Amino acid sequence: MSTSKALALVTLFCAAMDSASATPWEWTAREVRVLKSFSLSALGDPPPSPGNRWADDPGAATLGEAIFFDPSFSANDQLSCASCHAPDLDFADGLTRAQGLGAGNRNTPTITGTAWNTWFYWDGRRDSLWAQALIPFEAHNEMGSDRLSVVRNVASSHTLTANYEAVFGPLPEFDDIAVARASPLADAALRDSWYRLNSEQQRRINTVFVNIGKAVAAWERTQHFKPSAFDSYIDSLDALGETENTPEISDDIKAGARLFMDADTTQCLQCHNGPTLTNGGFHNIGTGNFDGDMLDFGRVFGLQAVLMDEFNCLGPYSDAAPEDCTALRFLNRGHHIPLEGAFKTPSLRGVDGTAPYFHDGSAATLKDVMQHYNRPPDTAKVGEHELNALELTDTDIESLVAFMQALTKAATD
Amino acid sequence: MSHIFATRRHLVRLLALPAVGAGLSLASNAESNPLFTAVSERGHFEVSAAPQDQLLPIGTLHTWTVQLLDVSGRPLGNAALAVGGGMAAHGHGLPTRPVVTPTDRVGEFRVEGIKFNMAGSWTLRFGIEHGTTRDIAEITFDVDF
Repeated sequence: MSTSKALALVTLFCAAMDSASATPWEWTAREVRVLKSFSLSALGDPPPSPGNRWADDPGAATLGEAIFFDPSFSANDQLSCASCHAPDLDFADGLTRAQGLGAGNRNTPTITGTAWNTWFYWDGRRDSLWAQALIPFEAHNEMGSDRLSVVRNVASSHTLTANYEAVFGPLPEFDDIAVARASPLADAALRDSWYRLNSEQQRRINTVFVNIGKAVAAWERTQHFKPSAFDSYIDSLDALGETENTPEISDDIKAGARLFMDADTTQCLQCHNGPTLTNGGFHNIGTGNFDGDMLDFGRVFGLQAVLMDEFNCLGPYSDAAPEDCTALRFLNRGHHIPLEGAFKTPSLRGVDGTAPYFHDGSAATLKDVMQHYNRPPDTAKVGEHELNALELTDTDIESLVAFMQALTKAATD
Repeated sequence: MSHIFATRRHLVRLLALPAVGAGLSLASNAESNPLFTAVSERGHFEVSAAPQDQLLPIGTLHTWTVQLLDVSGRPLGNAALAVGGGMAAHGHGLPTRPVVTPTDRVGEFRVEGIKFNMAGSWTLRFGIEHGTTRDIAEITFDVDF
């Protein structure tokens, strides 16, 4: 090839590239509407937590933050809430399943954005952040403590006592209680101690224990979603699509977003929608279980548990008026919705930082997640899963992963 | 679970909208709230149902007002109403269990706790009891972003 011909080809090639990069990505009107519905700017403030009158109290949040990071609340003085919800791991732990004093049964979710949750735990067995925050203190495979030790731990610290009393008023005395430890949930000896207490003593312990949970929840509520690079992109769109103010993002991300919204190609939008990118519901997606034949029934037991929980919104330790307990008031107890093997839909915000994925931690990467949806198992171990096989190409999967990564990448990066 | 959708669909008239069949995308442009009406399966009753807002939201609880009428179009007193529904295409019911409360108006009910957790075609199903007569009416509509 002569030099002049080669230069001409290079010129043509560059012109073609310029033309391609200068062509704005075209979204349909519906796609723009759906994209706008994802925007974090559409989310607003966290919804009220009617059962926790201190949910937005700064003093309660200060106390809650101190407790969240304090290992003295665990049985071995080495584990805190932050052991599994580590700030440098996006408030998750990077493990397949949680590891406290023992191995947990499920993957650790992040606490970021949980102020917008209706249900807590993968099976929704708690209906508030404060009620959820109480369980790890007493779980034998988490912090392994007991509620009497937890409240005594506050009483034994001048700083914690002062911070507690600044929010909740005087800390009750526990001198009339001879035993050091007691819990209705722990081993037989601690349960025996608990049930030898009279009802007033139990209520006194529970009240402080619950306030500790409400303080932790007040702090966790401040851990909001952070605007992502994709938020900046969709906020710049007008009704017709990209504008002169639209920041550059790769076509791969846009292709992934298009696939995500395309109900004929994927089913993503059914469960991952709105600014939180979750519908907050429970779905059986055919994910597995941990130990051989052990089964995890998910929501079908979580639903029963939340109804029996003395710390639920309608319980004696809730600050809510009954009519404000909408999650329980309108709770569908299984009327035409599948509950067996169903687990809560997680948010996709920040998802790239919280591997591994699914309730069982069985997907190591986002690509593995998409492979699961593309080729779901024929049967679920529990119940029936809701997935239909997709026909995504490797390129499609890479685009969808790029889109989810853009939901994580900070807007200012 | 498919039996909740097993009965014959009845014509749904979408009033107060510029066109029928376009669902929420048109509802968002309407000046008044959408109003859905349906005749019950055996023709005993008529139902009109309206959400509290112009938009049918996805992901949030909302309230509807339901008016029961007799075959002559008069408000139906001393009737009982039950509300359910779901997505026939997906084979599941509502994610919530709505609570039905009679208002002070004859034949009118407030239905709280309705939630649509995804876009698509949703059905609300009304079980009506009046004396010894029972019948069912359905409305089906699109919910979109």
